[in-house]
Amino acid sequence: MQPLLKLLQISSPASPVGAFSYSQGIEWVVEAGWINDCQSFCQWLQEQLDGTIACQELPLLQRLYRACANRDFVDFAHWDQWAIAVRETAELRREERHRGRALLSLIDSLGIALPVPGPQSQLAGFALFCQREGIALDDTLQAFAYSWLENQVTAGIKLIPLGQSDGQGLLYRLGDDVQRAVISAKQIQDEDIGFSSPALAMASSFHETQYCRLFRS
Amino acid sequence: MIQRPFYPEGRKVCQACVLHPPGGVVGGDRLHLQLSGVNDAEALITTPGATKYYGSDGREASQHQVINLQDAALEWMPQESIYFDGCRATQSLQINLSHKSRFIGWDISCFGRPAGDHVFVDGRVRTRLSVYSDGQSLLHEQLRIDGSDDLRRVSGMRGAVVVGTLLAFVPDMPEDELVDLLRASLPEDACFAATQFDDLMIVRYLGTSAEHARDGFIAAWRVLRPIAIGREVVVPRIWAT
Repeated sequence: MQPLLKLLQISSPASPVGAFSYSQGIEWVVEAGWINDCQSFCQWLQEQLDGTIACQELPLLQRLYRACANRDFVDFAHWDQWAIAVRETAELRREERHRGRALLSLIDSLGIALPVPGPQSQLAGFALFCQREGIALDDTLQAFAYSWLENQVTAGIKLIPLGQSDGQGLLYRLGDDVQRAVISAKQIQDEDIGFSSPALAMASSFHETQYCRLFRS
Repeated sequence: MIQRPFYPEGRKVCQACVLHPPGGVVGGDRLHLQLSGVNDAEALITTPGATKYYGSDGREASQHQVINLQDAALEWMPQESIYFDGCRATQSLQINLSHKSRFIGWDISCFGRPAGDHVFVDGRVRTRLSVYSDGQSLLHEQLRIDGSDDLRRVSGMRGAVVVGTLLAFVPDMPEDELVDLLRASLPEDACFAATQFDDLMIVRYLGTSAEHARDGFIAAWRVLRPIAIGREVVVPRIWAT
């Protein structure tokens, strides 16, 4: 199978990573009225792309991929632990670990060799799969950011709610923002990794106690 | 410098005040503070006033605080940091804990002077918070503010100018029990939120008043201190002045 097909497989919402069942705080944010239409949702997504994705997720993914390529599994475990340590709430941590486990068992079931200890975060699992399957670093970063965006838009369509064509329009228009996030992620130095989102962290804390939920906490 | 310590709770707990005599931090200043505790030592450390980062001539001002605890208990309760318009500042707090250590601490950041006469428009601020338990990374947070646009981020500051984090290390606590107690202790407004994970309890504040943040954190501290440190709260007298 070609690397492109493998990349499509791992980043598809149909892969058993469970990505679709989490909303990353959007549910509470919608209920609180912070996001209520396509325009406010678009702004939210742009902020996430040039903030958390560009300054935190992609720089970590890049380091995990490099550690895999160098077969430096001490370094890999170090950045894997970071990928958990940047999660600001109990539910965001559970989510990262849950997706990490799902990805780990998928990789294992496909017969791909795993390092010891195995990855615990989703980011590390994603990096490992892509590097082992010969997918280029840039493609790995772009696909991860796009897959994140698609998951968010799917949650937004259900919750706000938006029409399917609004959702597709967002995915289409935000392609340039995904590309910009990849470019700026590669400029980030180790000490600058991280992007706190206080309001989002608080929304996620409130979501942990919210009574009625469509998405798991 | 450290002022003469005193012992309002008896000989076991040392209470001390750390101060930087100039009171403000300007471009080019690099402050380093290291606090270490070993062998069941217990201390509560605070500061007499806000740390002020003034407008810069282009150079960066930084303050790096490192706390090392080897089976000791520390409460780190500084007054707020104020980042004035035009400052370029990095403030970091790194906490290294052994599993048997106990820690409660907080950090409160204000952008501009909350009273409103000094608005933050143009500064560049980084605040970092990291916690390690037996060398294992537990938490990394980095707030990046480049100008007032970043104060308006919907998922970030949301137009607020004061952000605070209260952190307690409570190893081996059953999940969910403590966080419910803690939530019940907080003021009933949307400025405070609590969460618990991986031996840490965290209360966050997002609002417009450093005093409001501290009042809420003190309420949470009343719940946390008996559990994390094994003592009831005695509010340091310097906060009343």
